Amino acid sequence: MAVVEQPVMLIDQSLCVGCEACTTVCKSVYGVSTGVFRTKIDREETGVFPSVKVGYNKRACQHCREAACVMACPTRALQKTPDKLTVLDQRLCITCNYCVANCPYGAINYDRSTRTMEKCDLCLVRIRDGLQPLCVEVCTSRVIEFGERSRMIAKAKERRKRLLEQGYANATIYGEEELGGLQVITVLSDAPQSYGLPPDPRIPLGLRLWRMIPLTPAVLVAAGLVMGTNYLHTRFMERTKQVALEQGKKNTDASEKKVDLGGDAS
Amino acid sequence: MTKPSDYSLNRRGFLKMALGTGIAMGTGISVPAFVKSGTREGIVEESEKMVHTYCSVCSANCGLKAYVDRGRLVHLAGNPHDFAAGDPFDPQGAGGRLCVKGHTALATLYDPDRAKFPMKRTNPRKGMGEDPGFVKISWDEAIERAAEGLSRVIAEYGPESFMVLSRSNPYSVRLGRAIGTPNFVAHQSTCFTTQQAAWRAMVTGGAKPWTYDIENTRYILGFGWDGLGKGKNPHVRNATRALERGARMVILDPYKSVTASKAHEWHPIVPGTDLAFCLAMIHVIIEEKSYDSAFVDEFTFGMDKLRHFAKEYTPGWAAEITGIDAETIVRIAREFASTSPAHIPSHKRDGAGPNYSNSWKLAQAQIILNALVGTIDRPGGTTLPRNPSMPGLDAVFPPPAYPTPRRERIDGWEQDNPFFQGSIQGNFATLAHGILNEEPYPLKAALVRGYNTTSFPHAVRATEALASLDFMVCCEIYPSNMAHLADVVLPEPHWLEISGFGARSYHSTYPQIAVRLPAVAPLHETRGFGTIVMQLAEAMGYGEYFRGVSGAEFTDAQLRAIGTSWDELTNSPTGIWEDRQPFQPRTEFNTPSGKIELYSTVLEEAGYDPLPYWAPRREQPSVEYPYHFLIGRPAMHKMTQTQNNRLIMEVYPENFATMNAKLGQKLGIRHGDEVYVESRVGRIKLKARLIEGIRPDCVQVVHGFGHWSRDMTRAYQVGANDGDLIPDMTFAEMRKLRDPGMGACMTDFGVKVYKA
Ligand code: SF4
Ligand code: SF4
Ligand code: SF4
Repeated sequence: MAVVEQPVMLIDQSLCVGCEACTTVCKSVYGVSTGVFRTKIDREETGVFPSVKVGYNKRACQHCREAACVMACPTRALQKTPDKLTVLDQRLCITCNYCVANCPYGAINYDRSTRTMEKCDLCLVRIRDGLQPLCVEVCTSRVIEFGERSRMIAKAKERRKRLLEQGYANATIYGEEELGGLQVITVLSDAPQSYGLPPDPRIPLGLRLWRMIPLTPAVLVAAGLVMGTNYLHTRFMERTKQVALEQGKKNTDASEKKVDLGGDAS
Repeated sequence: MTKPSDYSLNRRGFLKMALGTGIAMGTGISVPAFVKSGTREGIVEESEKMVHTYCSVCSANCGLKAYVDRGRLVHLAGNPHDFAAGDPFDPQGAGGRLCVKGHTALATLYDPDRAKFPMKRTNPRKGMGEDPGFVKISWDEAIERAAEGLSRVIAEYGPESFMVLSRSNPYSVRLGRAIGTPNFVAHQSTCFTTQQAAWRAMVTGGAKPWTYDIENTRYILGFGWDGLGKGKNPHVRNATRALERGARMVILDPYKSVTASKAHEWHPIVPGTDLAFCLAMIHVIIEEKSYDSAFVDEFTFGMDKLRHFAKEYTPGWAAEITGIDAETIVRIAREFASTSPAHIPSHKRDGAGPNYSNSWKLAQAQIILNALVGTIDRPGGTTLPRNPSMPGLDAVFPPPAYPTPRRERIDGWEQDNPFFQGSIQGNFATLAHGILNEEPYPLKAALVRGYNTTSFPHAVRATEALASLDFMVCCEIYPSNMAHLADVVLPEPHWLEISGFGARSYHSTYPQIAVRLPAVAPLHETRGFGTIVMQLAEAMGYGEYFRGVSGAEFTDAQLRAIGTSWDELTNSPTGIWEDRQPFQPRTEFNTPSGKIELYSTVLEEAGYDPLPYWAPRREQPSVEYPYHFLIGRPAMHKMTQTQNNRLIMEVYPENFATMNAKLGQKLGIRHGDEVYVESRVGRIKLKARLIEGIRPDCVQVVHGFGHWSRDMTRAYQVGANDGDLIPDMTFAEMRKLRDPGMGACMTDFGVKVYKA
């Protein structure tokens, strides 16, 4: 199979059954630590009995073109590839957690046991080899596809049309425009909120300002840290980390609760 | 030996390698050089070898490809050539699939808690939570002890004092028959016998078919059917395809299941009243003459009687019982009759499973409705099995004459019931009573395989009964609760360690067989069940029944009977043997009239209602136990077998008392509070989970949890067992229910909930 030039993952969440086959295979093959996920299903329940809606959302990196995590990262460990994927260079990562705090999709996880960050890279090694991402290959209901952006968007539109015909008046395509366009395009039978997705994600002003601070010194600081040489800078970064952790906690508290009690698919 | 933590070595190795390549700073953001630094992580296709086998987590038995690298199983993928795992729309292309349970089976294989060698107990006291004091013994000693223990009981109390507690297996059945016991007890009365009795009587003369051509159904109507939520690979794949193609789906279920959440309509019906809804549908379809008259005239029997029967079951009548208004019932009946093909799929333990005393009638009514719209063994409907027929063990290796059992069965199975004669099935609901009261005789020894104590109704009492046995031999892959009640534990290999073949029943539209080759060499000191039984038989003095019997020859004889052989099958590049034929709809059915009997002469003959007359469930919620009880079965868990699997437990770690937020509010219970759920036979403690997607008069608990064996370190004391709440029965009580399926009434009782 040829290597895809504008790689996009298309997920039809309207047909995802929340079975977590994708989650477990990703964890098993990549040996991701217990309690840490590159991809995970969230169950979102909205409405009041008996008018209840339940949406399953595959929470993973959306590879935002305007990526909050890349802006937040003080060491440039998070980068965009020329084909718009967001990748993390573990060697540069100082686990400051600033990306965790800023990702609008809860897609980056800190792995305490290995002191590394975990996020989906769309199976970069596989797709560079012309293979498909693992979750695409294993999804039991075959609702994930992978291919050229234009083709994926055309398919998404086709699916949305079908959903509209079936009476899903709020059927949505998510990711075409959001944050400059996501590299993960999602088909929803309803508004994004019904799947627990932010309807109008934005880069916070604070983050844009942070981004305007000349970063070269920060990169050096980071390098220093990685090599474990500069005591003063270590102290500085520890403080940064503290702040980031506080913010990150807010995000993860919410999602952890979901994993805890809402991990339902009975 | 391999440890589960080895999985993460991969990744640490990768990190180390990445670090070793040096820091690529200043090269700009364009090239993530670190990704190209030589790792092949994630490319499972580059494993050293790929082995064909099939999954045995559930009975779908999906064909699979096992990727093995340096002796280690790294990934399981669906076999695209298999009809259970492949894509019927693209058999060559899109690749095979498995479900989450299939994919994660490798974590069971490598589970460090597995039973690794034969063991004997040193603590004579048996019971829940009692440490058996297991010590390792040799296989020779294990077989000798097991044989001696079983023989002692049989000599003292007679052959019927011994039972085989296992799914049907040709080897253990032969041993049991040789001994002369009638007792082959198995779990089916908790699973599907209500459906089986109805299908046997009205359509097949045999089993309930489990194949649905659902991808071609245009109107799917489900009663508690959760084909998308139980996660079975062929059902999920086919039902999602149907939805993608624009099928309409309507689900009646007191709980908003996954399937209900994907449906166009969800109706939270009063539990146990689905029969009334179906009867009113029959009424409407017959009154309006909207049935498929060509199909009904040619392939069914008893329409006149049905017409008369259905008169009284008006939508208004059903509305009062079901809580769903008459207009909705009429509309659904009309849509069902006018959208072709329309079908009511029904799988194990859903609405028509053995949940209520009237569930077997619901199965009857569903067959009638499906026949009225012509979707039995027709495209878009349930299709009858087209499995290859093969000789059994007794045909290949005829045994010496078996002694005739002297007594009836301890669980009452087969007694007064024409539907299960000679079936190696049984009754988990009545067994404990029989054993504890020695009724009708003492049962004192058992050969148990693959069953756990938590699978029984009134599991606490069942455990007591099984603990009271003088001698138990348990064949298991885990030191489970059941193993903890055993005197001798004989460890079996995991299915990824053995060879064989499988003819599958969940998607059998033409004969097909999948090969099983060992993905890895056995990790532990295990022996296959057939070998264990033959060695036991020899040691117990029944060796003559197995003279000349060879598993390999048996396999080959079976394969030769269908025109292939073990050699040919193992050399098949696809891992599959098949006899692909275009679908030929049946024109004759295996009933006395040769037609689908809407009016069942078989049921009538046996003394049961030939038509599904309305009857309420056995037990309504009461003042003391005011709420309906529901059991959930998530995609990730296979009954009681997966709660020690690290990958599964991460995504589904615990079970809860799930109830509507309003009910929680009324009872002062908050999300996450510890609560007791109590029935008239017991109570369990778990955390409350408050949601909106459930009727406010119901409490739901997911099955599979509540293990008390300390050797199951991940499963131990996590959540609680729903089975502790289910009342068991005496055989006389069961008989009074007049259910030809002898269903265990798994949810036919009320519960109360209160803060712990
Ligand atoms: S989803 Fe989160 S991790 Fe992925 S690119 Fe966007 S901000 Fe970064
Ligand atoms: S495997 Fe597919 S259906 Fe299952 S949770 Fe993942 S995306 Fe959804
Ligand atoms: S449906 Fe899942 S558990 Fe059942 S056989 Fe297939 S892969 Fe295995």
